[in-house]
Amino acid sequence: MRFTITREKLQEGLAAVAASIPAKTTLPVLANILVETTEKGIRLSGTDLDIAVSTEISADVETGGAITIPAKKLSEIARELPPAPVRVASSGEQRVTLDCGRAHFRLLGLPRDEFPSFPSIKFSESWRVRSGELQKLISHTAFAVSTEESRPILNGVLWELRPDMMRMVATNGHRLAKMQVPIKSSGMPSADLIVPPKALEQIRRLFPADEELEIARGENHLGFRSPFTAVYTRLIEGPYPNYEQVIPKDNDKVAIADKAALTSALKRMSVIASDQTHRIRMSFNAGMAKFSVQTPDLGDAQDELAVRFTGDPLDIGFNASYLLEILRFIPTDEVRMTFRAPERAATLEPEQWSDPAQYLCLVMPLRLVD
Amino acid sequence: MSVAEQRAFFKSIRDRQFAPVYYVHGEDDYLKEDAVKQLVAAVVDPATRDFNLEIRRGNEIDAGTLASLLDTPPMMADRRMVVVRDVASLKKDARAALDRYLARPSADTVVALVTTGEAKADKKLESAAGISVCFDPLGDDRVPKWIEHQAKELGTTIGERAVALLHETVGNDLPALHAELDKLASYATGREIDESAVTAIVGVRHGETLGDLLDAVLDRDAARAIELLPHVLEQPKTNAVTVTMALATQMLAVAWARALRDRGTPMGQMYNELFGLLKESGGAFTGRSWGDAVKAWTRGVERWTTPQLDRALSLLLATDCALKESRLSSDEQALATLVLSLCGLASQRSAAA
Repeated sequence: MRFTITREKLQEGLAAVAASIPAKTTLPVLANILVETTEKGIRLSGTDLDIAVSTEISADVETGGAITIPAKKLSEIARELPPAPVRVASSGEQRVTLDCGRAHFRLLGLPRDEFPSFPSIKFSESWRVRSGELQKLISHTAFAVSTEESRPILNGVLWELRPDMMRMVATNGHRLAKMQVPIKSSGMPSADLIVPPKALEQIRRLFPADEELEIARGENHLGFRSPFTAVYTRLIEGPYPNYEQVIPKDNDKVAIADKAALTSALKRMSVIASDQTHRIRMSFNAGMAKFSVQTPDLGDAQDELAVRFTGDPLDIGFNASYLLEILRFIPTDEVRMTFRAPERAATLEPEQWSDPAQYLCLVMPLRLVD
Repeated sequence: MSVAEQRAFFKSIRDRQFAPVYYVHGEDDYLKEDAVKQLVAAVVDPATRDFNLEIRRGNEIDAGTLASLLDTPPMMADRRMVVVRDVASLKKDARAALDRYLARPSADTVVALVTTGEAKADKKLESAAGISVCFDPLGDDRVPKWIEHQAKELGTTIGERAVALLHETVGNDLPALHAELDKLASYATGREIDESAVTAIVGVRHGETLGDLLDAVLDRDAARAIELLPHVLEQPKTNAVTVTMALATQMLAVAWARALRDRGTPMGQMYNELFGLLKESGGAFTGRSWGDAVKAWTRGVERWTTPQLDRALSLLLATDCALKESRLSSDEQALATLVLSLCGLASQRSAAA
């Protein structure tokens, strides 16, 4: 194998694949990147066996071939190379040399045969989705997944594909984020997929917003493909809990607040809130939301914010961190909050959002100690 | 173990009158796990289980997370449940958060605090819990009832002789008993599990157990012991080493009882003395129920002399060493030699007499 590539292209390809390389592994070849020559250049691939990323970049190929090269060292070398074409050549199955300007490197790789094969997925039957729509769903929901290993289903994002819309839902049992966007009918059957958030993060990062992606399902894997890049991920098996059942439909108290002002007030209260529970009290009545926090051995704080509130007055406790996290993803200047009772779930939605997407977050309150 | 505590625990599940806090402790992890499973199934609505059930380990949860879990109301359900396993390993600040909650527990959250292994009961948690329940290992007298109950739970019934055979074969190992019962329930397909089912599935018949082999050796019945040996070695979880271990326990116990007898302890006290020895030893491998073992050993005291017992123990040690050496060609052959030698010791005594 022998090819020449620009330093920038090499760096770009390595950056795309590097995130799929495990930091620690008991299988040495997984710490390597597979480099293969193609008709148009070279293909770089990496995997941690849960997620696999493969990307094609242009290069001048003199002799075809394939080898695996230690990913971390190759990335470090690429970062430090001078601005000149990089000549890569392999000799035998395990040795590779890199020459750039007057710099010369010799690396010990591993044979291509040791690299695991990617999941077999047929893209002939695939959903077609615009990457930007997918990125919007991912960035507004994936933050809410559970990191608790005892409930693996909640470690994934539910992705519901329907003929006319797609929806993503994530929850950790204390907060939930749900977004749906309309899509053009693809003629493909409906599907419910539970996808690890790490894979979705790769999708969000790797594919430009205006690109159309082909998405296809294998036996227990999902593949995303654009003309140059492909991502494969293991799916989480099992039925996702019936999230609709926990979304309140009868919340009868509504508060509409300025998102930035609400965020600021919550941040101020967080300073005095307990480091453990971040518990704050919010008291709503006509036209006003009062915030208060009292932490033994530290002190107390109060604040007020003008809101548009309808319904009976309400005192409710929240983990301020959960509220602040959700507010980060509300795409409008104002946020609409709904409540029923101090021990019932509250919802947060964008107010006056002109986007065709629908977005709702749910947050569980905390009991007020007094 | 307090039977009253356990009754109160299971009554609360049956009546669905849950205490806000349960403290589940004791040495039998299997029974504790089973009890918590039953509690979870009764407390949490299956439809919202993923949102209203939190199971954490004490050493893995920080104070903030624990406080949040305890202070979150149920999500579209009547109740929520928090299970803290290995509660003794909670870090100091997490324990403080738990103590604060226990002072004023919530009515719509059920908390189960579970100890691991042989952790000593925490008096403070015992008194703070609405229901504190201890699950220590079941004694011989309770295992047969437990087997019957488990069979019922599996949707079947089991005959008295089948219970005895299963108990004799598997002993008091509840997870192993449950696994065998599970297989037996599938095999019986709705019929009562009888002795023939145990013979077919567990692979043991009445009169062919390890206990029977131990009795044959103790009774110096070489022909019977040799006849039993291959059947016993075919049984699950039985091999030459476990048979040697059971024989060694038996001979040591008889030797110990012989010494007591020689010092003038009346035979009438021997059963209790031997039972006390077993309790003290804790994990001695008897190869059968404690009750059966102690009865047999008591019977053997008058049949074996001290020199014979010393020689028997030497033979057992030699066999044990031989079994652990890889050059031995046949474990069964080594055991057969041992059994014949042990029975022969007794014959020599008979001949001498």
